[in-house]
Amino acid sequence: MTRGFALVVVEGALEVPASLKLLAAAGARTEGVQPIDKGGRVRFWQDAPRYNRAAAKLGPVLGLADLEAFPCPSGLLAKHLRPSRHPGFVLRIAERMLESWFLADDSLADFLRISGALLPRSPDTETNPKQTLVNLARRSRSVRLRDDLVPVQGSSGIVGKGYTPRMTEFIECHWRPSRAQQRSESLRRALAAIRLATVP
Amino acid sequence: MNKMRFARVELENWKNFTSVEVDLANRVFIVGPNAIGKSNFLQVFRFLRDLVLEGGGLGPAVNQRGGMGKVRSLYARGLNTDVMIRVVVKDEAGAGWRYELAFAHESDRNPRPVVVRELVDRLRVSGETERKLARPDNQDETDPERLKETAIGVLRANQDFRELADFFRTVAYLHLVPQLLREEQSPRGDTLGTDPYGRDLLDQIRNTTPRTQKARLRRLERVLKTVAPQLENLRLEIDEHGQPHLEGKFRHWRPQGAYQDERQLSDGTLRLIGLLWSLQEPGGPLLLEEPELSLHTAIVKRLAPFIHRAQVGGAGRQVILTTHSEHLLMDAGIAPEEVLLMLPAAEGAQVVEGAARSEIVRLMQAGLTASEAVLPRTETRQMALFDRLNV
Repeated sequence: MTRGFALVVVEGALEVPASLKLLAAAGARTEGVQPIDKGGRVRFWQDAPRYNRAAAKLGPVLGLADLEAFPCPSGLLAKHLRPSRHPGFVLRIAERMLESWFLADDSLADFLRISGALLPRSPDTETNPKQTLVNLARRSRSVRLRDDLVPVQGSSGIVGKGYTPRMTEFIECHWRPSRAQQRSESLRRALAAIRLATVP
Repeated sequence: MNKMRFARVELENWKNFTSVEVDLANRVFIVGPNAIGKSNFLQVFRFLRDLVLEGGGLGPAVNQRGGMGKVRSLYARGLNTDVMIRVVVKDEAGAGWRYELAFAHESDRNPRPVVVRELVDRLRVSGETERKLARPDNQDETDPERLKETAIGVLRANQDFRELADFFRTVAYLHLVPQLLREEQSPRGDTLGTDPYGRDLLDQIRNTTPRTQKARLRRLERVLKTVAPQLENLRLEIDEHGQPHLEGKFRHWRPQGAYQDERQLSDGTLRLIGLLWSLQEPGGPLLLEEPELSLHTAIVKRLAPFIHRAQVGGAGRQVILTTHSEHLLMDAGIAPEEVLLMLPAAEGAQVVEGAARSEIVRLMQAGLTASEAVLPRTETRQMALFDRLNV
C-alpha cells in the first residue's frame, strides 16, 4: 500500500486540485485526502507553524504555496517556520506562482486554444506567471475562455471572474505534472520531495 | 440583449449616509461591520423601484420606510437637509440615464414628502447629455400639489423616459427567510412588489409558463444536486386548496425515495433554491442579502464565479450583494472595483470603493484575495471587546 500524507494544506483554491494531481503523479495516496484550503497566503503563513508542529505528531504533512515576490524559498521558510521546518512538513513552494507549473505543460496551449509556440520555454524564470497565463488567454480563439480568464477592460483585477473554476477544469482534466516537470525544475523537485516523503 | 444596470449612485442624507458617491460594477460585494447600513444602502434601489410600482409613488415609498423621519439621516442639518438620490444607469454600450431626486418634508406640521428637485438626463454613448426633465417646472409652481408625486412614477408624465421607469421596476430584492416560506405566511398587505423575504417564491415559480418552469427547475435541480445529492425530481405541485408546493424526492428517506415539500426542505436548500431561481428570472438588478447563509463553505467559496456564470450565460442580471463571509470573498476573480466597504464615519457611515483605496488595490494586485485585503479593514476596534464581555 502506498503511504500518504496525514494532512494536505494549501494556500488557495487552485492548489486543492493541483495538490491531488501532484500526489497522484508522485505515486502517493490520494484516496481520502481532503486538502485544507487556507484561502490566501496571509492565512497560510499565519498557520504554517501549527502545521509544522503537527507534522511532528501526525506524520508527513504536505504544504503547497506560492513564492510570489519573495527572493527564495529558503528565506520564506526561515521567516515563518522557527526554529526550523520539521522534516515531516513537506512544504513545496512554486517558483513565483503555481501558474508556472501549468505553463510548463504543453497541454495548456490546447486548453487555451493558442499555439504551443507561445508557451514560455522556462516558466520558472517568469516573474509573474499568472499574468503570463492571462496574457496567453487573451490570444485564445475561444470567447468564453477569454471571458473567464481575462479581466474586463478597465478592471483593476488581475484575472477574470471565471478564473478559478476554469483553471480548476484545466488542472483536473488536462494538467500532467510528470510532463510539466521536464520544463520546471521547481516542479521536478516538488514531485521528488513528495515521492521521498511517502516511500515506505 | 443590451442590459441596463446601475453604474453609479450618489446619496445625500439618506438614512445613515450623509454623503455617498460610488461607482457600481455589474457584480458588487458590500462588506462592513454589523448595523453599519448595508441594508440601508440596498434600500436606495428598492426605493427607486417603489417610486414606479403600481400602488407605489413617493408617499407610499417613504411611508413604507417609516416616514421622512426614518428616511432622512439624523445628521442632516444646516443648509441642506433634503434627501437626495442620484443614479446613473447604463447599458453595455455606455448609453443610459441619469436620475436625480431630492425630497423633503412639506412643513414641520406636515411631514409628508414633497419633491424638491427631479432631474432626468439622457446619456449618449458620445458623452453628450440631453435633459428630459427638470422640476420644479412652471406647472409645479402654479400647482404645488403636483410636488407630492415624482414624474418618474406617473405614466402620463414619464413618456420621455419610460425606459428608465421600466428599469427601476425590474429591481428585485431577496433575503429568503426559510421559516416564513415554510409557514406559508402571506406577505404583509402593504408590501410593494415581490416579497423581500421570499414568501412568494412559490407564486413566482407558478407564474411562469409550464415550459419555462420545467426548464428552470431542471437547471436548478442540477445545481442543487451538487449540494444535496439525494434530492431529485424537483417540481411544483398545487394542493387541493390551490396552494403551490415545491416538491422533491429524497432518496435517503426510503429505498424508492419519498416526496417532501418545501416545509421539510432544509434552510440551506430553500435559500439556494431562492438564489438559483432569482438568478434565472429575467429582470434587472438583483439585490441579495448575505447569500452565504446556511450554505456549506465549499459552496460559498464557489458562489462568486457562479454568479458571474449566471450573468454571462443566463439572465444577465446585475447582482449587488451584502456579505460577511470570508469564503465568499476568497475567489481570485473578484476585482477591487467590485467591492464596496462600509465604514463608520464621524456622522453615520461612509461607503468606499475598493478600487479607490490604493492599499487594497496594491494587495489584490499582489495576489491577495478580497477576503484578505478587504475584510480585515471592516473590523472595528470595539469588536475585540467581545472577548471580555459576558451576559
